[in-house]
Amino acid sequence: MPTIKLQSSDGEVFDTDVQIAKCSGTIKTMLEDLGMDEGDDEVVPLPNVNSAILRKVLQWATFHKDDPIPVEDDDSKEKRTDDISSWDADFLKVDQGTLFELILAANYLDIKGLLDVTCKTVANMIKGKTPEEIRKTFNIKNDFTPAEEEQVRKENEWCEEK
Amino acid sequence: MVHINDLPNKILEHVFGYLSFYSRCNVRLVCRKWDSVSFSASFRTRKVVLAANRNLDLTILLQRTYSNVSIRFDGVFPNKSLENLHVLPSVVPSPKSVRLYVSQCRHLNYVEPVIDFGIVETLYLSGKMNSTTVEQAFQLQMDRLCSLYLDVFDIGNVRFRMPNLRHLNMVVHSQEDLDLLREFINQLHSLTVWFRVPYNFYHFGMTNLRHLSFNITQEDLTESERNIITLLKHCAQLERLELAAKSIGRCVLESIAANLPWLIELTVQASEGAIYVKPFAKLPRLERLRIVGCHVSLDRVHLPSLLSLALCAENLEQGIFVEATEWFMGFPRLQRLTLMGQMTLPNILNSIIVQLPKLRWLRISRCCLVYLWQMDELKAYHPGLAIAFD
Repeated sequence: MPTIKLQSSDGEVFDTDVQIAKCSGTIKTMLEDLGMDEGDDEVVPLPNVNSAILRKVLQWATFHKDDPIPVEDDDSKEKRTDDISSWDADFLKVDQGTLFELILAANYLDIKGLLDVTCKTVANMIKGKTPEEIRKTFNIKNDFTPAEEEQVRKENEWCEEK
Repeated sequence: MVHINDLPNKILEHVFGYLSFYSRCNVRLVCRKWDSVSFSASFRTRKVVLAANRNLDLTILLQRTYSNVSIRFDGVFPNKSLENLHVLPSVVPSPKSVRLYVSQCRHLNYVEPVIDFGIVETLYLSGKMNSTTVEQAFQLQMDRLCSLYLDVFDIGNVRFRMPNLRHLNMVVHSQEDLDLLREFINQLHSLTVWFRVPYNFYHFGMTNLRHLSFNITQEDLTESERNIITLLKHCAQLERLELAAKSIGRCVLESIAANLPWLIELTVQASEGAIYVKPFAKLPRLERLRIVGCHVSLDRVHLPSLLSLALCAENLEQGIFVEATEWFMGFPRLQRLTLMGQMTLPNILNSIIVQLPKLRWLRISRCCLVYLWQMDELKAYHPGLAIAFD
């Protein structure tokens, strides 16, 4: 099976099945643009992803390599967030820092499936919480002045869902 | 450690995209960054309507501008509110979508000076006009209007000029409404229509419709089957069809299959009688099928191009009876399956799943006798399958 070498920001090299690496839109384009041939000994540098995260990303991509391209359900309604497979749910039982790093990596590497499922996981951490509970969950400082906060509250009262 | 506010706004926007409107209102209150991202201008344009129904307080609202506005004139609209309507041009400087609920024709005169109908793209108009008094015909010139939602009793006095109308969503209350439909149908790409009066399509010519949603659930229109078939024959380019009626006979289903070769998405809803899926095998492009009813027959059905299938009970208490000797053998490409209101599910669920090699999303909703522990077992058997259960 053809492989390529991916190098993380901290210098570790991962020998990866080409098909799995191509889950990443970024790597796919790189390979095509650079005209890299299989079997070339060149190393693809990924300066924005460290080895711990790259290892997780490749683990995810390996499990999902045969996924079909999703049919878009053109519901303009709220998108579902409870349709996370049990494998993904277990895979994403990580601390917040790792979760956000995975999101950044999925974004940089352009892996839509991983970006969706990680963002859904964060959305699930927000749902049903009060603003104060959300701040606590993510350790966010409230930087509104009382007057500004009051204004947002009032504005909310004027707004309806389209 | 990476903090949530280290994520680029684009990603936060993606996260917030999974939240309901009301969760977003909460999210706004978390911090300034979240306020600006969750209520971004593009989100306000797409999702937020400014409800100008009460006394508008300028000082609060002038901080932001809105693209969509709703005004509801019910009963006596207080004078104070009428005065306040004059602030609208500064809060909603270029209205994209406007929702009006009126109870008299003259209410249109109140909004005309404050809303530039010439640039409105979407208009929702509902209520009643009460044009019993002899009022002058009111003309709405809407050159950019693309979508119109109309549910008005007694539209008589209003004349619509809508050269770019493409999407019409209307409740037909009267013969005048039907005339309006006939006037615009040839320029429409999509039409959603509910009938409250008898209708016929024999005078209609060929249409360019791509999407049609047709609702006659109120009546038992067995005699109008030919009428519906006539309409379908005039919609040869249809890609998406929703048909809801009290019952839908086999000849209508066969006519769908025979006349609509471009169909990609089909919803069939009937509260009585069985829905036979077999005729749809003739639709070569059909990717998404949704059946809402009390009885569906999947016997000897083979739909090779189908990607998404939903079987839903019309009445959740009665459930939906699925008639099939070999469940789901005929859906080799199916990715997404939704089962809602199934009565006979628990024992066969696992055998359904193993017959669907490409299945990736499963939604089980309001099915009796299916319990959470069974779902957990199912998830453990099929770790790659995303299962939503409620």
